[in-house]
Amino acid sequence: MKQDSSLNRRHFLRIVGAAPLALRTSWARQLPPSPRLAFVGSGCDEIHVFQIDGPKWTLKQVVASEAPVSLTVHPNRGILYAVNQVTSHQDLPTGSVETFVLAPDGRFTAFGKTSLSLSAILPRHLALSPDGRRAIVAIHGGGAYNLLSIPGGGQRPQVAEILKETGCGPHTLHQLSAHPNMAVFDTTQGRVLTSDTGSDRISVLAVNENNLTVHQRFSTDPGSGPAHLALHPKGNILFVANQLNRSLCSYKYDAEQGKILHRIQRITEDTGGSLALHPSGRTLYTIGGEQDDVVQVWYIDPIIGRLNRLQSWQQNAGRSIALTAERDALFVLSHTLNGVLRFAADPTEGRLSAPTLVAEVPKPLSIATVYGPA
Amino acid sequence: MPIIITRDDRRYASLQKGHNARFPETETDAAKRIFLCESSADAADALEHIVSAGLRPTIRSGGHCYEDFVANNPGGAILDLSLLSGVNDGRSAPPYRLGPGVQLWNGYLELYKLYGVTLPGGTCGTVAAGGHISGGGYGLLSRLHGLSSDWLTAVEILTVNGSGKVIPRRADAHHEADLFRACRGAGGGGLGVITSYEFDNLPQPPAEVIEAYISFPWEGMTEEKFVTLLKTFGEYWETRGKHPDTWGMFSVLEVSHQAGGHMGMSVQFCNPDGRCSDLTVLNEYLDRFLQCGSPASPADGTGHAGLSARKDAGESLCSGAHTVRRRDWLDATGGNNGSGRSTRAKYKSAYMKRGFTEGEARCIYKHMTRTIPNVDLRGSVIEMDSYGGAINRKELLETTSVAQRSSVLKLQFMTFWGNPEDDAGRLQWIRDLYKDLYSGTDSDPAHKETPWWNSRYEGCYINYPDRDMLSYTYWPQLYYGPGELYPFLQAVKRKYDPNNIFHHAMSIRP
Repeated sequence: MKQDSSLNRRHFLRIVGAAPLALRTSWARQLPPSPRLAFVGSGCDEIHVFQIDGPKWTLKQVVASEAPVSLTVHPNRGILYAVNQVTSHQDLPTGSVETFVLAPDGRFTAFGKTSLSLSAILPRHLALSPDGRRAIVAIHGGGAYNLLSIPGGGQRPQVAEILKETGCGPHTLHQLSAHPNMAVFDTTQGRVLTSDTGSDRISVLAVNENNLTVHQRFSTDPGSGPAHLALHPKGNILFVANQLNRSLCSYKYDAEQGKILHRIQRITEDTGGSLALHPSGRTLYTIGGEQDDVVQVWYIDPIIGRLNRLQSWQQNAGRSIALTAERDALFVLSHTLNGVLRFAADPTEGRLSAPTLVAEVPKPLSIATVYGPA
Repeated sequence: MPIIITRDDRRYASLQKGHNARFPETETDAAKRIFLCESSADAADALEHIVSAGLRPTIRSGGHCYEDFVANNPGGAILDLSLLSGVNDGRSAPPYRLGPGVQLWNGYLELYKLYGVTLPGGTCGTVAAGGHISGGGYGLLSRLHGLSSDWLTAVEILTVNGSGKVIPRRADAHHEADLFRACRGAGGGGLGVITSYEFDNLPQPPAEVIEAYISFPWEGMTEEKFVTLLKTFGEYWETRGKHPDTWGMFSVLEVSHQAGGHMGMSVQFCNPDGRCSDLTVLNEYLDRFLQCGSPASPADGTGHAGLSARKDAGESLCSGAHTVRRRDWLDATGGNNGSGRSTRAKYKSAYMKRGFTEGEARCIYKHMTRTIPNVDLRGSVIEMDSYGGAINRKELLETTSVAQRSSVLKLQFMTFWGNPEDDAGRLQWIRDLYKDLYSGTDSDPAHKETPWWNSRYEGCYINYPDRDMLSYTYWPQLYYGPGELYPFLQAVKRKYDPNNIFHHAMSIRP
């Protein structure tokens, strides 16, 4: 395992600015512990399972999974869901969600596959409710959302409701139809925020056990292509990375009303890719740049929600496609490097140090981590 | 405004299902609501409502879809057009206008009484125009006059644009000609909601027809006799049956499973001018089957529903060695207005460019005499229809979406049963038969188990859809041919239904 990917590659760390971050030590004590396992989906139809010990990642297992574009761990830490980004399942035009059961030793086995609704091809993302009883799958190719009910221990999700979307935008290649990209539950668990790259729309969907309905539509800039979402832990600020016009927007969100109120800010420099929030809620991480080769760190103003750039890190030809943040690290999937970069993060404010390549995974697609056993 | 039927409505239980009692498969597979439309405006309102609510619409005209394309719609909405059942609705003709909900028998009756014309449509009288025409549509007069969709000159159709708005369109050969071509045979429910079918011209039906029937009991039927029967039937349509003087003759050989007791062959005949003045062609045809059994004689009513030359119908007539019935066309066609009760069913299809080989005939015999423990195979049949004639005008390849224009026979494999516990046995039987039949030396080596396009076969018929075909990656080519038609239909789909609002298991993939 390489410990430092960048020894032979040019990279630089650019300090752009700093914000006053007077953190109380109690904050740090409340943060979750370091993760124990990481799951990395691969475009080679595999999921790689790693044991994490600080900066050291040890490959424990590789299991087959078709195009695992999104990985999500159940709150019971015993179930892993993989969204299969496929155009056909059981000879029908639809995608699927695969369920893996984790054993206490961290090994896991395929348990079953849930067929999504007819025409739900190329699903992109699964959002699990915090209580683990339902999930929303954003179906990019088929232009729909599926509500999954997840009874019992979580092994057997079932499609409970379908919301078929329409919509288009000015981009002649990517916006001929609706393309839901991502979903996140808000803090009430009764609503889901979604992005639709094809129709320049973010939406608030109302969700319960068997129903999924539109609560609010909010149009974004024409041709923006909203794709990646992150909701502040307090539930009041929604960050949206726009894939087509390569921008980042933040929105004031009223969780009680389930309303996106107004746009706070629009940033156009080196954004538009994946997003992650530091568990402290004080820092946002973004990917952007022409080649998705710029990782940036943003301080979130706790009062007005505006972003101030703290750091910008660029790796030439180091295309990054997904990231996830933990208390003391940011993990970035690098398509070019075929692996996982680990940026050490300051546990309190999330500021990053130079990265190392901690794992090699061919054609990485997705990542999820799980903390110690429940 | 459309009538909306929800689960708490007493009509829901009846209206949520189709003619094939297999669907919806489970309660959760059923549509959440049914929109009954009485006008095109109703249909537009219903579609707008359905789309804006994020529901999936499935489109129903007569409810005769063989597969689960309509009734299996979990949480979605059935847009029911069965009440759009008018013929011209007081407007002058031509053009002749049929609503999608016109049941074929009612359509024949009204077109005949009002205008003296007919649609060369199917034998199942309660099938509605919507599914019939959009999937091609053929029947007893098709060898003489072509397919129903061949006569179509315009459609009124509701599509949904990229932003979700319902767009009413009128498509014909000059306006949105690509959409119009797709509506001429590509199959229903996959592009939009057709609310009217228009025909500038329609053929005149025959004044009278001759009906003949020959029974072939299984008792005493040997494999050799069976092979002779099938080869005699196929050889005629492959050779003599191509001559235009035979195009007024349509014949169905109904090969039933041995458990059914007997097989039969029905014939409807007229001269190409629509009269029955010269029966030479008919007699020549019937004489060929003397070697297979008895001459034609009036049926006891157990033969094909529409072509049985029943004892109690029409005028008995001796024609050579045969006893046939002369009937006026409307009366004969009226005998076809039943569709049987709703049962569980499974169907498959194949187009044949040639008659049967000995190998094919022996394979069919094997499966028609096969027994499966604890499975009652009564009600299992291959309906072998004569085909070709006016259907095979090659110029129609460019202007319609029916790619099969070289076949002389069309086979419909069917099995009907009532008890859900028999599903597995019935499905096993029909699947085994089909796979076996199309895995022989006459089949394309790269497309085994299917009637892939070659010198003998022309794939399958989209109005007899078969979900089993989805297991072959080339299933679209089985139905639409290996040429430019399917890519063309995909382009039409992307253009007129960019969000794939109208979809089912075998709809055109965008």
